Amino acid sequence: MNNPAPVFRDRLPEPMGLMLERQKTVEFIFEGERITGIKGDTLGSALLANQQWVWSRSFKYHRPRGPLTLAGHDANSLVQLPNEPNALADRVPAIDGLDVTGQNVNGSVKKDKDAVLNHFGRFMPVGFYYRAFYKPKGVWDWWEKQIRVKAGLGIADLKFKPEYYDKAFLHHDLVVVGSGPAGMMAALKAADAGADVLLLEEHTLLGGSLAYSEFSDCNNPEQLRQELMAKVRQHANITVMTEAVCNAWFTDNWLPVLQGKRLYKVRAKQCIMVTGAYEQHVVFRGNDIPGVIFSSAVMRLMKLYAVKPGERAAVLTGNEDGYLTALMLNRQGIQLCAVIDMRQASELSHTEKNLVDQLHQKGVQVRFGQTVYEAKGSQRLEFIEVRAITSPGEVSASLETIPCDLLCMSAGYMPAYQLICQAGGQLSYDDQRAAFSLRNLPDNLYIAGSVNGIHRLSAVMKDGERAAIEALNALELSDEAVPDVFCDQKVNFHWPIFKHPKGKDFVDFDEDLQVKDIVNATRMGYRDIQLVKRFSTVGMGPSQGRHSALPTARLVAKATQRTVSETGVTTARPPLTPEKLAYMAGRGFDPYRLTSMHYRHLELGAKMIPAGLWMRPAFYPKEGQRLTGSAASPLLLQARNIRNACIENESLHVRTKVGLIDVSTLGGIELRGPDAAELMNRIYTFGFLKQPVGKTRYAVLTNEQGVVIDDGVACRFDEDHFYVTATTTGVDNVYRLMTFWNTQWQLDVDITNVSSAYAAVNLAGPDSRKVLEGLTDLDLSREGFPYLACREGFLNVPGCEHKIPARFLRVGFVGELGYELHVPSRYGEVLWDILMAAGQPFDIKPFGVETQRLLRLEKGHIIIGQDTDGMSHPSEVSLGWAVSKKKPYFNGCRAVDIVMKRPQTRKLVGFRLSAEYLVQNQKPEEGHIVLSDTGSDSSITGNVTSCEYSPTANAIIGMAYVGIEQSEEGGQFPIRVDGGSVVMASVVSLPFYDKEQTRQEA
Amino acid sequence: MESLRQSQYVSSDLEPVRSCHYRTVSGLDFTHSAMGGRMIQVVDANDDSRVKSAGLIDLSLLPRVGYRGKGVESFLSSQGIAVPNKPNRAAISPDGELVLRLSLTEFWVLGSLKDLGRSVMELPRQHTQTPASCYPLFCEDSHACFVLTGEHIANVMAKLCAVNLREDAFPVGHIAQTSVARTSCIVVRHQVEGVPCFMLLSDATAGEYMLGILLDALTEYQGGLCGTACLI
Repeated sequence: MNNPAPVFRDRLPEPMGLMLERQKTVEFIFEGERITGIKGDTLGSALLANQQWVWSRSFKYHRPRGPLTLAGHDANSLVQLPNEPNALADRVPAIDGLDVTGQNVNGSVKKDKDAVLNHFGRFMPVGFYYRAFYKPKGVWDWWEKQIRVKAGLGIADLKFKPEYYDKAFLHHDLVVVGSGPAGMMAALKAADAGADVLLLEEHTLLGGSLAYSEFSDCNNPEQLRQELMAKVRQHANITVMTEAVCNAWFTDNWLPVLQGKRLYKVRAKQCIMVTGAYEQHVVFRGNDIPGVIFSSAVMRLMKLYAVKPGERAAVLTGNEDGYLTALMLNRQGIQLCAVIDMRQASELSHTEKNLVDQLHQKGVQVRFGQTVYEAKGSQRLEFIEVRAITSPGEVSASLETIPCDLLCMSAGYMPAYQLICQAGGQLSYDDQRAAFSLRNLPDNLYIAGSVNGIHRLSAVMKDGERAAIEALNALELSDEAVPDVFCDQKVNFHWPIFKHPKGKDFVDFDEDLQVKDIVNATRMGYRDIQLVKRFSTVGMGPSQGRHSALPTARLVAKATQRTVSETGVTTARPPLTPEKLAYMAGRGFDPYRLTSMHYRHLELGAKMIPAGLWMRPAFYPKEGQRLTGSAASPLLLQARNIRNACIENESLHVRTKVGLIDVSTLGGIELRGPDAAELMNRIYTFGFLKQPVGKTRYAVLTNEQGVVIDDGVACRFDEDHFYVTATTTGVDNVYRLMTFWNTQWQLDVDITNVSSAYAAVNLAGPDSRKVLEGLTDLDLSREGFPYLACREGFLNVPGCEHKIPARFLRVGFVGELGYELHVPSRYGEVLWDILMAAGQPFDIKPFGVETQRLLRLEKGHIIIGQDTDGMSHPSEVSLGWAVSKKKPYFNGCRAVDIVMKRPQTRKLVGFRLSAEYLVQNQKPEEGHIVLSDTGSDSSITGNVTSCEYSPTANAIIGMAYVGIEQSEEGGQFPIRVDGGSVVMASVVSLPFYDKEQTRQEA
Repeated sequence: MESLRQSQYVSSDLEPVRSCHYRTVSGLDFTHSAMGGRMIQVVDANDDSRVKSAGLIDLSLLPRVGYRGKGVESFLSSQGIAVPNKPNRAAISPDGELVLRLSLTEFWVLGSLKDLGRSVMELPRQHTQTPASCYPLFCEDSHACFVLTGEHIANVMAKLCAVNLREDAFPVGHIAQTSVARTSCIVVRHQVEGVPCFMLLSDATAGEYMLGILLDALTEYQGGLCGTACLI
């Protein structure tokens, strides 16, 4: 803290200060200075109470900026919190101990070294960055570094500890967005009729403008607010959410609502947008100097926070709100040095003349037909220069300078159109009222209140009820006639833009855009409002055109000799307000699946790898070799060496003794019913009608393009009962395809996906039969249970009477004597336990998926998805034998016929390389390309799909797609490996291991 | 969830029947379902208050059976089981079994805590034991089963599921076959002794995931696991 605490200024007496708990103070730090506020203050109101009017620096010229809207609707109030950039000072509550700084400054907000840029505006014309930094060629590299240092606003805290953000769904008959007088009336009307209503309010207090504004047709808006609020709060059919921002509109009234640390996904049958209107500024030189502020902001400051906004105030207006502001200032004892109406006295309505009379009675004279032409002051407003308006945008030469420290401006209103335009609503400009209005609303969406161009309070309330009646009629909760609501109050001055030859007459405060910037953009050919936006960046800052859209439309229309309606405004896209990424990145749902043996793998120290939603053991490193984190990266030599050693050891163990692998992730589909065989026959390529009971058969599935998309083993347990396995990631697709077709075929068969219902292991190796013999009563002899047979039986659980129902499949994926055992998943862990225990005398060891991949590669078995791609037809992968030519139909048969008759251009072959290439670090990897020849103009003919060092073969073995002319056994083909070198692989016949099949059929 | 896993190292001396996520639940006292698995009977002394507010009970090992086919409705009638008259509706038998009608031809019968599922265990599980066109399903093993209880259940589920599950839109006896936290799930609204309940049936192999998601969602309401004794 550099300075002692400033003197705490007295606040205005009650009833000013609706938000305050006056007995409690808060202290926080701003730019190193201690700021004392009152509980209920925002950072901004506390700063203003302490005479801190400079909150930030402008984006381009680093001009001092202070409060503008006090509603969180502008970029002037952006400040830096310890772990949050771009916080809105006029929205963030003041809390004890918070350390707040300005942002986009070089130094401090009061002494910003970059403020010198303010004097170099002429060198930074509109769009200069598109043109200035690219010539001569190469200079951009230097400029980019400088620009990146200067660009951006706040600073992200990269050490920030993530917080818990989440999402929730809400459903309501009617959502009312905005709790102003129209919103509360709409909610009450609808709720009284029985609708389930959600009322959303972006601020803390309900009531919208009732909470801070003055009305010519209501003497006590606070009393009205309290009455309406009490009814709303007590109504059983109304749910109220405050500090909740409806940040977009999506089709069918899907509304994302941000509140606290939660994103609500709201579904509304009907929606009433009562979003209000944004007050508009007057464009003149120096309209950004701290102390030049919206009338509504001054009202908020006094009514909500009891802050005396200045000592000598001026009001510049084009509507009655300026008079109401002046009267409020007067009541609070603030000297009014000038009330300036841009209109002529003859243009005032009867109501406004009454307000002028009231001011006269208080000794305040009103100047008509004049404007502020320039505001002056360095860190705070000091003078205004007033001139007479001679024609739209033009002023007289005579001048008068008035000292003041506060200028309240009210040039009119722009409907808060963004959400409505996102819904398809269209803006049209009424020249007579000099205002935009919204038309062409979609079904089930209504607007009311000032967003609908209704400003007189009594009419606003009727308009809220009118919108509710429309919504109730659509909900069929009412058949009341929809009343007409009329309001003749004109709020917009037709041309509140006074261009100054020296500029700094800001149209867009976010981007420091002046009148000449917009006009010059049109002169450079960017006549379309969308192009003006992109070239000048108008409306692209944090306030998203709330205050710049209307003056920009007017300026572009004038510069291009079109109407404002023809010019329009730029597209309003979601989100409405800046949305923290935390809302998107907060708690998400990432489902995962675990087999029932999962924790046994962890206990054994397995290296786990993802497989779809599953986690599977890749291999089982010994203690001391279990790497974690970045050390386990396969890019590191140590990790690769451990992996290779593990799978070599595990594979040799399976070849010589016995191993156990968890295959629970395999898909399983149960087919039962008289037509089960017929369905199998129509789905898969092989013939299944004559498959014997008790036998398995390889099942290949093709799609309607003739491409192999899945495979599995079909077990026939009864005439009307098949159990077919599918690949881990393919089973859902297979199941979907089966049910899809049978919806049309109407075969008498029940199809059930039982993938999760069964746990499974593969017990493989020459000793597997011995392991199993003690656990089942089944005849496991070669004759009693031969290769490719399947059985249903039981496994005994040693030490208890429990018998586990099990399916036994004698299949040979890894090429050894082996048994796949499928049991209900509730028994999965016990299955693992009893097999590991029974295998102990035979030195049983677990093996992982990576080892299984090597073992099956040695046997020449393909893996769908690894050794096939989106073009692989049965002939290419040597599965022609699994395609029945005798049956009339199977899924994809017509395409299979066509593609298999075409001249084949590639083929999946086995290849072999000397183990010496391992030493030379030239082992091919999956994905390496196969070349037509070794010449410099060689073309790509295929790619490697599988490749490992096989300790059994003592060679590098693999499979690869090669050109058909390269596929002949004994030939050689080149593979480009890492580093760009080329190795020559020899084509060999498959399998690499046990060509006589004696081991798996043992 | 990681801490839950680590705190529950489980030895192999348990019963053979185990859910995929049994390591992630613990309690003071257990009971055995008719299927043989251990179910938590009491988590702690606050079970009774928690169950009325925001509780979660794991019934994955409580027996249940499903059937699909044209012959199921008459088969269940022959077993004395009354079924709902239209799909996506549930009914409670006098003995406390919950009978779900998931389609015109698919029915699940969920065991009652009163008899720990003994009645349901007597129903056939093999299609050789059922009439034609009545195929037993595998929901005992394919699905985990949780019960969310208490006054906050609709708010808890609003964080996980896009379907409106508030009582006015989703009354007792209604079923939603939907996605909960990106996982397929059957949601059934029922009530026990006046306590609002959602029965949730989802993929057994994602049971640990679902349990973690539900416990996380319950935290906001100071909710958590409860034992089965609360619902008996």
